[in-house]
Amino acid sequence: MLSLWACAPAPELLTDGQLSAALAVAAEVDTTRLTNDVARMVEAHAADPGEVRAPWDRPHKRRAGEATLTAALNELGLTVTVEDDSGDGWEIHNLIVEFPGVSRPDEVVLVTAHYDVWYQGADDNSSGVAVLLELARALIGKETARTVRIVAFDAEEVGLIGSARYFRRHINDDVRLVINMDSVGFASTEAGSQVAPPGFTLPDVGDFIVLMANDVAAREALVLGQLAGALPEPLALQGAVGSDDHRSPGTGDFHRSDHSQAWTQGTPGLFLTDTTNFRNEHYHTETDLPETLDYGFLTQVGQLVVAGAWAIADEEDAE
Amino acid sequence: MSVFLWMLGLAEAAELTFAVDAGYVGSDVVMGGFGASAGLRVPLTDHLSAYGDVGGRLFLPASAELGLGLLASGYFGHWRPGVGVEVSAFVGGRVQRFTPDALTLRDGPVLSVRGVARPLAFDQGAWGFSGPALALGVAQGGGLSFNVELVQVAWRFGP
Repeated sequence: MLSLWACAPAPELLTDGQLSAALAVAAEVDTTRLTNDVARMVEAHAADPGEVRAPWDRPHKRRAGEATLTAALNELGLTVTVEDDSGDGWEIHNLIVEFPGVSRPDEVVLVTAHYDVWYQGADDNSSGVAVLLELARALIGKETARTVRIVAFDAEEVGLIGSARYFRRHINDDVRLVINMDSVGFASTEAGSQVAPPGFTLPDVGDFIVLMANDVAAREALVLGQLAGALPEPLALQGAVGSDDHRSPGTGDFHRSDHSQAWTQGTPGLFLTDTTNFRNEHYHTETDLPETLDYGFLTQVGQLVVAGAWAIADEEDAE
Repeated sequence: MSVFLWMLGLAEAAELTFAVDAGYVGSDVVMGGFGASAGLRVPLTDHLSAYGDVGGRLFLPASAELGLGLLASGYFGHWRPGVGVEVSAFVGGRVQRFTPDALTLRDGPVLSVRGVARPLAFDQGAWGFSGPALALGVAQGGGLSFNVELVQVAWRFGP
Protein backbone atom coordinates (compact mmCIF):
# COMPACT_ATOMS: atom_id res chain seq x y z
CA MET A 1 0.00 0.00 0.00
CA LEU A 2 2.84 2.35 0.73
CA SER A 3 3.95 2.10 -2.84
CA LEU A 4 0.64 3.62 -3.90
CA TRP A 5 1.78 6.87 -2.40
CA ALA A 6 5.34 6.76 -3.58
CA CYS A 7 6.90 9.01 -6.18
CA ALA A 8 9.06 7.62 -8.94
CA PRO A 9 12.71 7.37 -8.00
CA ALA A 10 14.03 10.88 -8.44
CA PRO A 11 16.18 11.08 -11.56
CA GLU A 12 19.66 12.41 -11.02
CA LEU A 13 19.69 16.06 -11.88
CA LEU A 14 22.68 18.37 -12.34
CA THR A 15 25.47 18.43 -9.81
CA ASP A 16 26.48 21.75 -8.29
CA GLY A 17 29.43 21.87 -10.67
CA GLN A 18 27.32 21.22 -13.75
CA LEU A 19 24.77 23.74 -12.56
CA SER A 20 27.42 26.42 -12.09
CA ALA A 21 28.98 25.75 -15.48
CA ALA A 22 25.63 25.96 -17.26
CA LEU A 23 24.64 29.14 -15.43
CA ALA A 24 27.99 30.74 -16.29
CA VAL A 25 27.29 30.25 -20.00
CA ALA A 26 23.71 31.47 -19.55
CA ALA A 27 25.00 34.67 -17.95
CA GLU A 28 26.15 35.74 -21.41
CA VAL A 29 22.55 36.20 -22.55
CA ASP A 30 22.00 39.89 -23.11
CA THR A 31 18.70 41.74 -22.95
CA THR A 32 19.74 44.51 -25.33
CA ARG A 33 20.80 42.06 -28.02
CA LEU A 34 17.57 40.10 -27.64
CA THR A 35 15.61 43.34 -28.00
CA ASN A 36 17.55 44.36 -31.07
CA ASP A 37 17.26 40.93 -32.69
CA VAL A 38 13.51 40.84 -32.24
CA ALA A 39 13.29 44.30 -33.79
CA ARG A 40 15.51 43.26 -36.69
CA MET A 41 13.45 40.19 -37.52
CA VAL A 42 10.20 42.13 -37.20
CA GLU A 43 11.57 44.78 -39.53
CA ALA A 44 12.33 42.11 -42.10
CA HIS A 45 8.82 40.68 -41.82
CA ALA A 46 7.34 44.17 -42.02
CA ALA A 47 9.08 44.91 -45.29
CA ASP A 48 6.04 43.50 -47.04
CA PRO A 49 3.16 44.42 -44.74
CA GLY A 50 0.46 45.24 -47.28
CA GLU A 51 -2.54 43.06 -46.65
CA VAL A 52 -0.33 40.17 -45.80
CA ARG A 53 -1.94 37.75 -43.43
CA ALA A 54 -0.82 34.16 -43.54
CA PRO A 55 2.70 33.16 -44.56
CA TRP A 56 1.39 31.14 -47.47
CA ASP A 57 0.14 34.35 -49.06
CA ARG A 58 3.68 35.59 -49.56
CA PRO A 59 6.49 33.04 -49.95
CA HIS A 60 8.94 35.90 -50.41
CA LYS A 61 8.00 37.08 -46.92
CA ARG A 62 9.54 33.88 -45.62
CA ARG A 63 12.60 34.49 -47.76
CA ALA A 64 12.98 37.95 -46.20
CA GLY A 65 13.08 36.34 -42.78
CA GLU A 66 15.56 33.78 -44.02
CA ALA A 67 17.85 36.46 -45.44
CA THR A 68 17.82 38.54 -42.26
CA LEU A 69 18.48 35.59 -39.97
CA THR A 70 21.22 34.27 -42.23
CA ALA A 71 22.86 37.69 -42.27
CA ALA A 72 22.71 37.91 -38.48
CA LEU A 73 24.39 34.51 -38.13
CA ASN A 74 27.00 35.35 -40.78
CA GLU A 75 27.85 38.53 -38.91
CA LEU A 76 28.81 36.29 -35.99
CA GLY A 77 31.25 34.51 -38.28
CA LEU A 78 29.06 31.42 -38.47
CA THR A 79 28.39 29.35 -41.56
CA VAL A 80 24.73 28.71 -42.22
CA THR A 81 23.71 25.54 -44.02
CA VAL A 82 20.51 25.96 -45.96
CA GLU A 83 18.71 22.65 -46.28
CA ASP A 84 16.52 23.01 -49.33
CA ASP A 85 13.63 20.61 -48.85
CA SER A 86 11.41 22.19 -51.45
CA GLY A 87 8.79 20.12 -53.16
CA ASP A 88 5.06 19.57 -53.54
CA GLY A 89 4.57 23.24 -54.23
CA TRP A 90 6.44 24.43 -51.18
CA GLU A 91 9.79 26.17 -51.16
CA ILE A 92 11.27 25.10 -47.85
CA HIS A 93 14.59 26.38 -46.50
CA ASN A 94 15.60 25.19 -43.04
CA LEU A 95 18.63 27.03 -41.67
CA ILE A 96 21.26 25.13 -39.70
CA VAL A 97 24.27 26.17 -37.67
CA GLU A 98 26.24 23.41 -36.02
CA PHE A 99 28.70 23.36 -33.14
CA PRO A 100 30.38 19.93 -33.35
CA GLY A 101 30.80 18.02 -30.12
CA VAL A 102 34.25 17.09 -28.93
CA SER A 103 33.82 13.61 -27.46
CA ARG A 104 30.36 12.56 -28.68
CA PRO A 105 29.95 14.42 -31.95
CA ASP A 106 27.36 11.97 -33.29
CA GLU A 107 25.00 12.74 -30.43
CA VAL A 108 23.03 15.86 -31.17
CA VAL A 109 21.21 18.39 -29.03
CA LEU A 110 18.84 20.25 -31.32
CA VAL A 111 17.70 23.74 -30.40
CA THR A 112 15.00 25.00 -32.70
CA ALA A 113 12.54 27.78 -33.49
CA HIS A 114 10.59 28.65 -36.60
CA TYR A 115 11.38 31.87 -38.46
CA ASP A 116 8.23 32.26 -40.55
CA VAL A 117 5.49 34.46 -39.12
CA TRP A 118 2.01 35.81 -39.43
CA TYR A 119 2.07 39.57 -39.94
CA GLN A 120 5.26 40.82 -38.25
CA GLY A 121 5.48 38.12 -35.61
CA ALA A 122 7.33 39.65 -32.67
CA ASP A 123 6.38 37.04 -30.11
CA ASP A 124 5.53 34.38 -32.68
CA ASN A 125 8.31 33.74 -33.36
CA SER A 126 10.97 36.43 -33.53
CA SER A 127 11.32 35.91 -29.78
CA GLY A 128 12.39 32.30 -30.33
CA VAL A 129 14.71 33.25 -33.17
CA ALA A 130 16.36 35.89 -30.99
CA VAL A 131 17.11 33.22 -28.39
CA LEU A 132 18.64 31.04 -31.12
CA LEU A 133 20.98 33.93 -31.94
CA GLU A 134 21.92 34.34 -28.29
CA LEU A 135 22.65 30.63 -28.04
CA ALA A 136 24.86 30.85 -31.12
CA ARG A 137 26.77 33.77 -29.62
CA ALA A 138 27.19 31.92 -26.34
CA LEU A 139 28.59 28.80 -28.00
CA ILE A 140 31.19 30.54 -30.14
CA GLY A 141 34.65 29.55 -28.97
CA LYS A 142 33.38 26.93 -26.52
CA GLU A 143 33.41 23.14 -26.65
CA THR A 144 30.74 20.69 -25.57
CA ALA A 145 30.80 16.91 -25.45
CA ARG A 146 27.84 16.55 -27.80
CA THR A 147 27.04 18.44 -30.95
CA VAL A 148 24.71 21.40 -30.59
CA ARG A 149 22.74 21.99 -33.76
CA ILE A 150 20.70 25.16 -34.07
CA VAL A 151 17.88 24.83 -36.56
CA ALA A 152 15.57 27.62 -37.69
CA PHE A 153 12.59 25.98 -39.32
CA ASP A 154 10.74 27.32 -42.30
CA ALA A 155 6.98 27.05 -42.79
CA GLU A 156 5.82 26.16 -39.30
CA GLU A 157 2.77 28.37 -39.58
CA VAL A 158 1.45 26.51 -42.58
CA GLY A 159 1.41 23.10 -40.93
CA LEU A 160 4.85 22.28 -39.53
CA ILE A 161 6.12 21.61 -43.04
CA GLY A 162 9.71 22.69 -42.51
CA SER A 163 10.20 20.58 -39.40
CA ALA A 164 8.38 17.61 -40.91
CA ARG A 165 10.81 17.59 -43.80
CA TYR A 166 13.79 18.15 -41.52
CA PHE A 167 12.96 15.22 -39.25
CA ARG A 168 12.17 13.00 -42.22
CA ARG A 169 15.57 13.80 -43.73
CA HIS A 170 17.38 13.33 -40.39
CA ILE A 171 15.45 10.32 -39.13
CA ASN A 172 18.66 8.36 -38.49
CA ASP A 173 20.35 11.07 -36.45
CA ASP A 174 21.18 10.26 -32.84
CA VAL A 175 19.22 13.06 -31.25
CA ARG A 176 19.79 13.31 -27.52
CA LEU A 177 17.25 16.09 -27.05
CA VAL A 178 15.19 18.64 -28.96
CA ILE A 179 14.53 21.99 -27.31
CA ASN A 180 11.95 23.87 -29.36
CA MET A 181 10.81 27.41 -28.72
CA ASP A 182 7.67 28.98 -30.09
CA SER A 183 6.55 32.33 -28.71
CA VAL A 184 8.61 32.87 -25.59
CA GLY A 185 8.54 36.63 -25.00
CA PHE A 186 5.08 37.59 -23.80
CA ALA A 187 4.28 37.79 -20.10
CA SER A 188 1.79 39.60 -17.94
CA THR A 189 1.52 40.32 -14.23
CA GLU A 190 -2.20 41.02 -14.40
CA ALA A 191 -4.67 38.77 -12.63
CA GLY A 192 -6.78 36.89 -15.13
CA SER A 193 -4.20 37.18 -17.89
CA GLN A 194 -3.77 33.42 -18.23
CA VAL A 195 -6.23 30.78 -19.28
CA ALA A 196 -5.64 27.07 -19.63
CA PRO A 197 -6.49 24.44 -22.21
CA PRO A 198 -9.53 22.27 -21.39
CA GLY A 199 -8.79 19.73 -18.70
CA PHE A 200 -5.85 21.63 -17.25
CA THR A 201 -5.33 24.38 -14.72
CA LEU A 202 -2.67 27.08 -14.79
CA PRO A 203 -1.94 30.01 -12.50
CA ASP A 204 -4.17 32.98 -13.10
CA VAL A 205 -1.26 35.34 -13.81
CA GLY A 206 0.62 34.75 -17.06
CA ASP A 207 4.13 35.43 -15.85
CA PHE A 208 5.58 31.94 -16.34
CA ILE A 209 6.97 29.84 -19.14
CA VAL A 210 5.40 26.48 -19.95
CA LEU A 211 7.68 23.53 -20.55
CA MET A 212 6.17 20.43 -22.11
CA ALA A 213 8.02 17.15 -22.51
CA ASN A 214 7.29 13.72 -23.84
CA ASP A 215 7.95 10.92 -21.40
CA VAL A 216 11.37 10.03 -22.80
CA ALA A 217 12.49 13.58 -22.04
CA ALA A 218 11.19 13.55 -18.47
CA ARG A 219 14.60 13.77 -16.89
CA GLU A 220 15.71 16.61 -19.17
CA ALA A 221 12.49 18.47 -18.37
CA LEU A 222 13.34 18.27 -14.68
CA VAL A 223 16.86 19.47 -15.43
CA LEU A 224 15.44 22.58 -17.08
CA GLY A 225 13.14 22.98 -14.10
CA GLN A 226 16.20 22.82 -11.86
CA LEU A 227 17.94 25.44 -13.99
CA ALA A 228 14.88 27.73 -14.05
CA GLY A 229 14.90 27.81 -10.27
CA ALA A 230 18.63 28.46 -10.16
CA LEU A 231 18.78 31.42 -12.56
CA PRO A 232 19.96 34.74 -11.06
CA GLU A 233 16.32 35.78 -11.29
CA PRO A 234 14.44 32.48 -11.00
CA LEU A 235 12.04 31.91 -13.88
CA ALA A 236 8.53 30.80 -13.00
CA LEU A 237 7.92 27.58 -14.88
CA GLN A 238 5.01 25.20 -15.26
CA GLY A 239 6.20 21.82 -16.48
CA ALA A 240 4.19 18.97 -17.96
CA VAL A 241 5.53 15.53 -18.84
CA GLY A 242 3.13 13.34 -20.76
CA SER A 243 2.69 9.69 -21.62
CA ASP A 244 2.49 8.36 -25.15
CA ASP A 245 4.19 11.43 -26.62
CA HIS A 246 1.07 13.50 -25.91
CA ARG A 247 -0.83 11.82 -28.74
CA SER A 248 -4.15 11.74 -26.92
CA PRO A 249 -7.03 14.03 -27.93
CA GLY A 250 -6.81 15.99 -24.69
CA THR A 251 -3.21 17.00 -25.31
CA GLY A 252 -3.64 18.11 -28.91
CA ASP A 253 -2.71 21.68 -27.98
CA PHE A 254 0.67 20.42 -26.82
CA HIS A 255 1.61 19.57 -30.42
CA ARG A 256 1.19 23.02 -31.86
CA SER A 257 4.77 23.56 -32.94
CA ASP A 258 7.79 21.94 -34.55
CA HIS A 259 8.72 19.65 -31.64
CA SER A 260 5.61 17.66 -32.57
CA GLN A 261 7.59 16.02 -35.34
CA ALA A 262 10.19 14.86 -32.82
CA TRP A 263 7.56 13.57 -30.40
CA THR A 264 5.86 11.69 -33.21
CA GLN A 265 9.15 9.87 -33.84
CA GLY A 266 9.56 9.15 -30.12
CA THR A 267 12.55 11.47 -29.96
CA PRO A 268 13.09 13.21 -26.60
CA GLY A 269 11.70 16.70 -26.96
CA LEU A 270 10.98 19.78 -24.89
CA PHE A 271 8.68 22.59 -25.90
CA LEU A 272 8.94 26.05 -24.37
CA THR A 273 6.14 28.54 -24.90
CA ASP A 274 4.38 31.47 -23.28
CA THR A 275 1.16 29.65 -24.33
CA THR A 276 0.37 32.14 -27.16
CA ASN A 277 -3.41 32.56 -27.48
CA PHE A 278 -4.00 31.32 -23.93
CA ARG A 279 -2.26 34.51 -22.77
CA ASN A 280 -1.38 36.82 -25.64
CA GLU A 281 -4.22 38.75 -27.28
CA HIS A 282 -1.86 39.73 -30.11
CA TYR A 283 -1.37 36.13 -31.24
CA HIS A 284 -1.52 35.90 -35.03
CA THR A 285 -2.62 39.49 -35.42
CA GLU A 286 -1.02 42.61 -36.82
CA THR A 287 -0.46 43.86 -33.28
CA ASP A 288 2.10 41.14 -32.46
CA LEU A 289 4.76 43.85 -32.25
CA PRO A 290 8.05 44.26 -30.36
CA GLU A 291 6.64 46.72 -27.85
CA THR A 292 4.24 44.08 -26.53
CA LEU A 293 7.04 41.81 -25.33
CA ASP A 294 8.58 41.57 -21.87
CA TYR A 295 12.31 41.55 -22.51
CA GLY A 296 13.18 40.69 -18.92
CA PHE A 297 11.06 37.57 -19.29
CA LEU A 298 12.59 36.83 -22.69
CA THR A 299 16.05 37.17 -21.16
CA GLN A 300 15.17 34.64 -18.46
CA VAL A 301 13.88 32.23 -21.09
CA GLY A 302 17.04 32.79 -23.12
CA GLN A 303 19.16 32.02 -20.08
CA LEU A 304 17.18 28.86 -19.46
CA VAL A 305 17.58 27.64 -23.03
CA VAL A 306 21.29 28.41 -23.18
CA ALA A 307 21.90 26.78 -19.79
CA GLY A 308 19.77 23.77 -20.69
CA ALA A 309 21.37 23.20 -24.06
CA TRP A 310 24.80 23.54 -22.55
CA ALA A 311 24.06 21.25 -19.63
CA ILE A 312 22.64 18.43 -21.75
CA ALA A 313 25.25 18.79 -24.48
CA ASP A 314 28.13 18.76 -22.07
CA GLU A 315 27.07 15.88 -19.83
CA GLU A 316 29.89 13.45 -20.49
CA ASP A 317 28.50 10.55 -18.54
CA ALA A 318 24.78 10.82 -19.15
CA GLU A 319 23.20 7.91 -20.95
CA MET B 1 -15.59 -13.02 5.54
CA SER B 2 -19.14 -12.59 4.35
CA VAL B 3 -18.24 -9.32 2.63
CA PHE B 4 -15.36 -11.08 0.90
CA LEU B 5 -17.69 -13.81 -0.35
CA TRP B 6 -20.18 -11.23 -1.55
CA MET B 7 -17.44 -9.44 -3.43
CA LEU B 8 -16.66 -12.67 -5.21
CA GLY B 9 -20.25 -12.90 -6.27
CA LEU B 10 -20.83 -16.00 -4.22
CA ALA B 11 -23.65 -14.62 -2.15
CA GLU B 12 -27.20 -13.88 -3.07
CA ALA B 13 -28.50 -10.75 -4.74
CA ALA B 14 -25.22 -9.38 -6.04
CA GLU B 15 -25.44 -7.08 -9.07
CA LEU B 16 -23.27 -6.75 -12.11
CA THR B 17 -23.08 -3.14 -13.25
CA PHE B 18 -22.18 -1.61 -16.57
CA ALA B 19 -21.83 2.13 -17.08
CA VAL B 20 -20.94 4.74 -19.64
CA ASP B 21 -18.98 7.37 -17.77
CA ALA B 22 -16.11 9.81 -17.58
CA GLY B 23 -13.50 10.16 -14.86
CA TYR B 24 -10.90 12.80 -14.11
CA VAL B 25 -8.24 13.73 -11.60
CA GLY B 26 -6.38 17.00 -11.87
CA SER B 27 -3.68 17.71 -9.36
CA ASP B 28 0.05 17.41 -9.90
CA VAL B 29 -1.03 14.51 -12.09
CA VAL B 30 -3.73 14.98 -14.70
CA MET B 31 -5.51 11.83 -15.86
CA GLY B 32 -8.84 10.74 -17.17
CA GLY B 33 -11.30 10.85 -20.00
CA PHE B 34 -14.41 9.24 -21.36
CA GLY B 35 -15.08 5.53 -21.25
CA ALA B 36 -17.03 2.67 -19.77
CA SER B 37 -16.96 0.72 -16.55
CA ALA B 38 -17.99 -2.68 -15.29
CA GLY B 39 -18.38 -3.67 -11.68
CA LEU B 40 -19.96 -5.73 -8.96
CA ARG B 41 -22.29 -4.47 -6.22
CA VAL B 42 -23.25 -6.57 -3.23
CA PRO B 43 -25.71 -5.83 -0.42
CA LEU B 44 -24.31 -5.56 3.08
CA THR B 45 -27.64 -4.67 4.74
CA ASP B 46 -31.09 -3.76 3.47
CA HIS B 47 -29.97 -0.21 2.73
CA LEU B 48 -26.21 -0.46 2.32
CA SER B 49 -24.22 -2.02 -0.46
CA ALA B 50 -20.55 -2.24 -1.37
CA TYR B 51 -19.23 -2.05 -4.87
CA GLY B 52 -16.12 -2.29 -6.91
CA ASP B 53 -15.64 -1.36 -10.53
CA VAL B 54 -13.03 -0.84 -13.19
CA GLY B 55 -13.22 1.49 -16.18
CA GLY B 56 -11.19 2.49 -19.17
CA ARG B 57 -10.50 6.16 -19.92
CA LEU B 58 -9.67 7.83 -23.22
CA PHE B 59 -9.06 11.54 -23.84
CA LEU B 60 -5.94 12.31 -21.91
CA PRO B 61 -3.35 9.52 -22.27
CA ALA B 62 -5.17 6.18 -21.98
CA SER B 63 -5.70 5.13 -18.39
CA ALA B 64 -7.85 2.94 -16.18
CA GLU B 65 -9.90 3.85 -13.13
CA LEU B 66 -10.60 1.44 -10.29
CA GLY B 67 -13.16 2.20 -7.62
CA LEU B 68 -14.34 0.78 -4.30
CA GLY B 69 -17.29 2.27 -2.51
CA LEU B 70 -20.21 2.10 -0.16
CA LEU B 71 -23.69 3.15 -1.25
CA ALA B 72 -26.66 3.82 1.04
CA SER B 73 -29.96 3.51 -0.77
CA GLY B 74 -33.54 4.28 0.00
CA TYR B 75 -36.54 2.45 -1.49
CA PHE B 76 -39.58 4.29 -2.74
CA GLY B 77 -41.40 1.86 -4.97
CA HIS B 78 -39.12 1.30 -7.93
CA TRP B 79 -37.09 4.39 -7.13
CA ARG B 80 -33.84 3.64 -5.33
CA PRO B 81 -31.85 6.87 -4.82
CA GLY B 82 -28.52 6.53 -3.13
CA VAL B 83 -25.61 8.43 -1.64
CA GLY B 84 -22.23 7.10 -0.73
CA VAL B 85 -18.50 7.40 -0.58
CA GLU B 86 -15.83 5.84 -2.74
CA VAL B 87 -12.11 5.55 -3.17
CA SER B 88 -10.78 5.53 -6.70
CA ALA B 89 -7.38 4.86 -8.18
CA PHE B 90 -6.26 6.01 -11.61
CA VAL B 91 -3.48 4.02 -13.22
CA GLY B 92 -1.76 4.36 -16.57
CA GLY B 93 -1.17 7.27 -18.91
CA ARG B 94 -0.95 10.73 -17.49
CA VAL B 95 0.30 14.27 -17.76
CA GLN B 96 2.54 14.97 -14.80
CA ARG B 97 3.05 18.52 -13.74
CA PHE B 98 6.03 20.01 -11.97
CA THR B 99 7.54 23.33 -11.02
CA PRO B 100 11.07 24.32 -10.03
CA ASP B 101 9.93 24.09 -6.41
CA ALA B 102 8.62 20.53 -6.82
CA LEU B 103 10.82 18.54 -9.17
CA THR B 104 9.12 15.20 -8.70
CA LEU B 105 7.27 12.78 -10.93
CA ARG B 106 4.87 10.14 -9.67
CA ASP B 107 4.56 6.77 -11.35
CA GLY B 108 2.06 4.97 -9.13
CA PRO B 109 -1.73 5.12 -8.94
CA VAL B 110 -3.37 8.43 -8.18
CA LEU B 111 -5.89 7.99 -5.39
CA SER B 112 -9.05 9.99 -4.75
CA VAL B 113 -11.79 10.10 -2.13
CA ARG B 114 -15.21 11.14 -3.38
CA GLY B 115 -18.75 11.59 -2.25
CA VAL B 116 -21.31 9.86 -4.46
CA ALA B 117 -24.82 10.91 -5.43
CA ARG B 118 -27.01 8.52 -7.41
CA PRO B 119 -30.40 10.23 -7.41
CA LEU B 120 -32.02 8.64 -10.44
CA ALA B 121 -31.75 4.91 -9.81
CA PHE B 122 -34.68 2.59 -10.43
CA ASP B 123 -35.31 -1.15 -10.05
CA GLN B 124 -37.49 -3.39 -12.15
CA GLY B 125 -37.24 -7.07 -11.30
CA ALA B 126 -33.70 -8.29 -11.81
CA TRP B 127 -32.75 -5.10 -13.60
CA GLY B 128 -31.68 -1.74 -12.36
CA PHE B 129 -31.24 1.49 -14.25
CA SER B 130 -29.55 4.68 -13.16
CA GLY B 131 -29.49 8.01 -14.93
CA PRO B 132 -26.81 10.65 -14.41
CA ALA B 133 -24.79 10.13 -11.23
CA LEU B 134 -21.91 12.10 -9.83
CA ALA B 135 -18.92 11.30 -7.67
CA LEU B 136 -17.00 14.38 -6.61
CA GLY B 137 -14.01 14.71 -4.34
CA VAL B 138 -10.35 15.34 -3.82
CA ALA B 139 -7.41 13.69 -5.55
CA GLN B 140 -4.09 12.82 -4.07
CA GLY B 141 -2.07 16.02 -4.26
CA GLY B 142 -5.10 18.16 -3.51
CA GLY B 143 -6.76 18.57 -6.89
CA LEU B 144 -10.23 17.91 -8.19
CA SER B 145 -11.47 14.39 -8.77
CA PHE B 146 -14.77 13.42 -10.29
CA ASN B 147 -16.64 10.72 -12.09
CA VAL B 148 -19.73 11.48 -14.12
CA GLU B 149 -21.82 8.47 -14.98
CA LEU B 150 -24.24 9.05 -17.82
CA VAL B 151 -26.06 5.78 -17.51
CA GLN B 152 -25.68 2.57 -15.54
CA VAL B 153 -27.42 -0.74 -16.06
CA ALA B 154 -27.39 -3.34 -13.27
CA TRP B 155 -28.34 -6.98 -13.41
CA ARG B 156 -29.10 -8.82 -10.19
CA PHE B 157 -28.13 -12.44 -10.01
CA GLY B 158 -28.16 -15.26 -7.47
CA PRO B 159 -31.03 -16.81 -5.55
